[in-house]
Amino acid sequence: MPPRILRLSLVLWWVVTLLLPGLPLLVLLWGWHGVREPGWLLTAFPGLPPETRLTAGKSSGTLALGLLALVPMLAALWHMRGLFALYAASEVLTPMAARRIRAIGVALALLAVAQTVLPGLQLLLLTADNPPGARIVSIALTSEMLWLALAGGLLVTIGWAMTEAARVAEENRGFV
Amino acid sequence: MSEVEIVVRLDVMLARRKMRSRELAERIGITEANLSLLKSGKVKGIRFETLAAICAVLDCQPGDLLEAIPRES
Repeated sequence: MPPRILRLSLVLWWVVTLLLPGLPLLVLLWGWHGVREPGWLLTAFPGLPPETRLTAGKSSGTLALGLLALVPMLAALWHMRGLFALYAASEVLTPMAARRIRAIGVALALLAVAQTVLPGLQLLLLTADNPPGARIVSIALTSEMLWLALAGGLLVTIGWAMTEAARVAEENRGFV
Repeated sequence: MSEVEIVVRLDVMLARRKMRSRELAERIGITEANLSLLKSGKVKGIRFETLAAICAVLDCQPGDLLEAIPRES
């Protein structure tokens, strides 16, 4: 196994191992501040109608919806950690490695969906009690989300291909 | 499943040539563990390169090492 695969896998394993607890901690700390100071909503959602009432309840609900995007993010990091551990142990062409790659792809695709849908739901929550004509529902498609969805689809496809490669490698291991 | 199975007679040739498995493994460049698997027939196949190396070291033909026998039903 080329040493560069082992070295980089080990470095990246440490990076995601630190991110896994670090990311939720940062989000929770930022959220804790946000719940107590609903004014952050004006910065995060600059297009809010002036009639919108900013309350601690809405702030908490908006944060909770935003936290849902954390789930696929952490899932992706978890499977990346598992994949880097396999690569660092020279287990490259194995069914487990292929499963990890597929799982990362699924997580990235779900993250793209979450980042597309959740901001619209947050706006709906914030403006639901506004007078008619001042309520907002929006869905924004950005190039970043498109690339994220494509990357997810690509990894799922590569994961399927790697399953075949792992099968062939296993077959070859049976030859002396 | 095939009606015939391939049996490896490597242990017979090693005995005839009075050679130990470890020495053969070292001379043909495979691990002793893999050679043991080959002797016991617990491999999916053998590469021509390995077969040629064994024949060269043991001075024999592939037919001396491999035998096709009817599979027991």
